[in-house]
Amino acid sequence: MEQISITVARSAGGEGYRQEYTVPMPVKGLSVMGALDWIHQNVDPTLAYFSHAACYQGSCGRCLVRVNGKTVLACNAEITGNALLLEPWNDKVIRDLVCEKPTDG
Amino acid sequence: METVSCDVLIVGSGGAGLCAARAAAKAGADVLIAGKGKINRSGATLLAGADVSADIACAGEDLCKLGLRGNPDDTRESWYSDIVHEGFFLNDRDMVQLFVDTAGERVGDLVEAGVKLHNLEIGEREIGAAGHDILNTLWKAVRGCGNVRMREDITLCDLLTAKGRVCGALLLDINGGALVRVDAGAVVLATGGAHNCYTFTSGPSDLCGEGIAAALRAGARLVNMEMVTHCPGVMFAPQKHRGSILPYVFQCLNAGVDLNGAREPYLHKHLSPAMVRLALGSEWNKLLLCYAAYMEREATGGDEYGGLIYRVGMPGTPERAALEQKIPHLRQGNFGAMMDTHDQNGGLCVFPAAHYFDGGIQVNARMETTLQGLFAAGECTGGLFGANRVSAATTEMMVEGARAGLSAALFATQAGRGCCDQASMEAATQGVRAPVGREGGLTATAAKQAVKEAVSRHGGIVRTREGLEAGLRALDEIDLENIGVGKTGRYPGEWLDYLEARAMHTCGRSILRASLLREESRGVFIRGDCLFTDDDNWLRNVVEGPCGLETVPVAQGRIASPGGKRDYFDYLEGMLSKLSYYEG
Repeated sequence: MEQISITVARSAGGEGYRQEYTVPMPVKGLSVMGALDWIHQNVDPTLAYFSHAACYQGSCGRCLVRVNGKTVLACNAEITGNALLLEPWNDKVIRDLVCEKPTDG
Repeated sequence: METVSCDVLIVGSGGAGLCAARAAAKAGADVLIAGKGKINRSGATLLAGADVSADIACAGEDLCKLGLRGNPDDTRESWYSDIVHEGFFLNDRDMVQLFVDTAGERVGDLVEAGVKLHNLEIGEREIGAAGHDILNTLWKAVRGCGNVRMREDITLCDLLTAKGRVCGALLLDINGGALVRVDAGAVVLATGGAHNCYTFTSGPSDLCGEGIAAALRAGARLVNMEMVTHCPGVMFAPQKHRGSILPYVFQCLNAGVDLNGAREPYLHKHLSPAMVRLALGSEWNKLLLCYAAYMEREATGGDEYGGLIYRVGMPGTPERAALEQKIPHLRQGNFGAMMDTHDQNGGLCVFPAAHYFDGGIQVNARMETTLQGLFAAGECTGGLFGANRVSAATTEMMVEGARAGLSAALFATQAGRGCCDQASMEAATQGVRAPVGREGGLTATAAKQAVKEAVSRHGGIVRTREGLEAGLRALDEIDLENIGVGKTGRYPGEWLDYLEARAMHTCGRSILRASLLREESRGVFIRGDCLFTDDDNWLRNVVEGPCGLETVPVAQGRIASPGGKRDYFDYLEGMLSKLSYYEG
């Protein structure tokens, strides 16, 4: 089975650090959110990403993450290539990939 | 610990919670809404009707009074009769009466508040609007009330009580990672269903049954938890689109064909010609198409992804052009990407997903639970639709929300703000903090997966005694007291997972236990080992309370079952002929 390497910029331990995970790609069409769920369920339950009220349909707009430098919705972003760098999408980091949402009206 | 005080605490910020907030605020109460996610971007309302068009129903005569197109000959009484037949006679008749009597007012409120009507599903007794627009419209209306505070990203841990009266709740502020105590005159639960008890669901990740589980822990009753509606046309693969009910919108429009993994039609193998007609021509399709899909995958396996196929017209065909005219944004964004997979694979990979909880917290027509000071509204409640909801979940949330908000405000005015017993506060706090720092042998996320696995495998579309017993054993083996949670602090994901696992375990157990007790099939509930509907013995609700499970007769009122025990499908066909919209 094909595998991809996902590096996550984390902060859960206090100081920022990078952690690498290897994720199997069972079928095409795996999203970044799907990969994060897989890591969370199978490898590392301490990894924090926006997961507690996510629509998984590109509608709630809460699962923002920076993938290889570009900010996207994790649920909408299909994984291409075999190496990803995931980072928080803004500098107000709550934990790992979870950031404060912008204030809105 | 941060302590907040209000007259009415509303837990949940979907349609039911927002309607409750507005009604309570109008009645003069100081209201606090606690939403698990972002207020106008969480809960099931957001994606109602795939966010294309969710139907909003009231009797045709009421639609006409609102100046909208509807069938003027469609009376409230006719709608009442249909809802009771659709619900296989298990409906709480007082709640149905409230529903048909006030749906028109609520629809009027929504239209007046500026919801944009969609022309897709205009029918004899319904109008349509996009889910996000319904939610936004209700949210704006609540923001216009002066006496409503809102907290986002905050989740329910437990209800707080004083001498049997609910008078607040213990919440967890997710981003801050801190517990918050709320003292309230009354509490409205509007927390939605327990969708995430199932591996495959059309619901968002927030819906873990926290309100249902907390109500049961506090001593309230649950009703008909075995009744779980599945939606047949839900994207199963690719994973990126998993959970979308867009194919169901197509099914409702009868825009394509249901095929198995070998791309062959299969409905006729499992349904009679009359039932196929009904499945393809009305919202009864949910129950019938789910059954056929389940049977077909059992018999033939699925496609390469393990799902079945729904195929609409290919690009360039008149069928496709007609569909794109009806749903203009089909070519854009996510829908566009989904249609690309359709065109590449010769169809969309679909399978039924857990979709709507017909059962839930038991309430009366004032939305009072069996506990003083505790009210509930929307999908977390049970009773209104009995054994099968055919349409109008958006109307349910508005009708029940508005009534619950009013009842809660009146109660709070009379009873005053509460202050919980110290014992209640300690029990709630200890229950939440128990796993923190514990050297556990089980992670919370593993516990969640195990619950999903047991409930999905044994509490799905067709259930059997043997399977349900195995499912309950599997749940019993999940030792929540063996869960350890490491670091808490800000966004304490593992701690949240624990709270969700606890709620899912409670709800999953209720679903399986109630399913085991009901030894018949009725509505959306199919026992493969009891394929009959038994009106002689089972015009009864399964009720779970502090003293365990019992069955309670359902008062039949003016639309009553004639009695008798019949084959499940014969019964279903007989029931159809009683519907006002049945065309033979």
